Amino acid sequence: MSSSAASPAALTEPETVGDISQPPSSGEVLWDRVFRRMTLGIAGFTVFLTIYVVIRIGRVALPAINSYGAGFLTGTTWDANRATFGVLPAIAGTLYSSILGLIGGTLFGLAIAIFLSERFLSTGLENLFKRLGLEGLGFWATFPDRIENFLRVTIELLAAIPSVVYGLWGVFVVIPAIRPPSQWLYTHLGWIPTFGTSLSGPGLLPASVVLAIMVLPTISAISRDALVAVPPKIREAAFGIGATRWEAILAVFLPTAATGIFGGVILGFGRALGETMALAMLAGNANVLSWSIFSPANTLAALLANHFPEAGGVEVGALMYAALVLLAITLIVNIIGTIILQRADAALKGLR
Amino acid sequence: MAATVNKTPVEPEVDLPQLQRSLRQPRLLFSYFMSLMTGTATVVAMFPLFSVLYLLIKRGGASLSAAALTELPPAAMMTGGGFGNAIVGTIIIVLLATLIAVPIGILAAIYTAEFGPETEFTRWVQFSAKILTGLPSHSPPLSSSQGDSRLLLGRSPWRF
Repeated sequence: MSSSAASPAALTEPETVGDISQPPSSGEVLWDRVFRRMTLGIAGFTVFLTIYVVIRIGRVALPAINSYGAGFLTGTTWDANRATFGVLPAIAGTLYSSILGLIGGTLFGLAIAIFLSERFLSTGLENLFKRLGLEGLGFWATFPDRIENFLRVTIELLAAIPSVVYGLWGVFVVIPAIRPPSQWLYTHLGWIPTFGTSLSGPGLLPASVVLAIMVLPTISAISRDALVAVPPKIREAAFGIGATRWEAILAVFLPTAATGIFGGVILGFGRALGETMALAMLAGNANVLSWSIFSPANTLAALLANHFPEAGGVEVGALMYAALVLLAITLIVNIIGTIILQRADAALKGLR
Repeated sequence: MAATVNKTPVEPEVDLPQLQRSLRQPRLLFSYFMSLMTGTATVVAMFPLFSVLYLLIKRGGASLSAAALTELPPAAMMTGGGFGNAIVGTIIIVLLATLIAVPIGILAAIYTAEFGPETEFTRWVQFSAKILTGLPSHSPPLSSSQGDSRLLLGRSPWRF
């Protein structure tokens, strides 16, 4: 007390410090608490929304569930006039087209992710410029990076094309383009069940091709992030023991990034299962059970899209039942994915 | 004694040509082949984008006019008019959906990343967000505008 009273000049400095590091005011504490509660509430709202959707669909579907039971899952006809409803062809079509699309999307998506994360293009172009004596010259110095960026943005733009436009593109471009090769496969390899029918227009294959393109940006973007995040010391160690580039990628980088890549694939699978408009335009909307990838098919989402606008009475309940089945499939896929993801994470724990 | 000193460095223990990069080594050939394949895959994957653009410009470019973008659709059996109402509708719906989804998505993401990471509740939140991404946009209790918001909502917690 005595020192502060003696020299007012010495007092000002400690006081400013005190101003900065003072305890939070009651308003700030309150805001912090409110904000925490708010984020908690909103996060809970996400869970609530999911449960709410399931309950709402379930309530409308309840009469249909009671009257059709498990036979709904194994029935093969959908006839509103005779009130017989079965979704086995739609379930099969959903899984078949999604898995085919996912295989294509993963192959290409992963290849793109590797191509863009391992700097193939940049090193190649830099070597070329070095030979031409252009290295480090203004425009050419940033050229490899810019072209790599351009490729990445172009691939990501694929995700920005609306589903309906993909459907139109499938009708006008994909179906005419794949008809001759699929006709050849049918006539020459028709004894294999997968090529057992001819492609008459819409069918599983065009639907899967478009699905593959739709899930490709998701898978490639997430896989690329996972590959870029592989620790540099692991990278350098792989090259240090004399691995070629692809030995390093296949034996070291891909297993290290596997968790992230798998997460992207599961997300892509979820999108493929729920994809509606493009499939309603391309799958053919025929309740056919066939192994052939050229045969017209149906998917659960397309079934909903096609029948709901004109549905009434019993059919609405049946459609909601179908929606619940689709939801259950999505749920099972995600649960299996989460379990595999956790296992992979535990196995890789030592590396991180 | 001098002979033994000279002898050791002369005999190399490593076969030097073996260490040089050569396409005759299968593992290097494989490496180059795979690099080529990924490059091809990237170029092939860009084809759909340009194909879609080409299709739209070729088939729709001719009828593109100021009237098409601003006027209302014509009455039945009439020509002319446009789809201005659809453009306005798209913008309004997307804006509203974004306004609804962005705060929810970001706040849920802040909670899952900052306040309650690694808890059971967070796992439920992330799980339901993933389920929402997989919902078909046509499920009637969800309107189509929510079809877009489900993407935003489903995405952000996942990417964090």
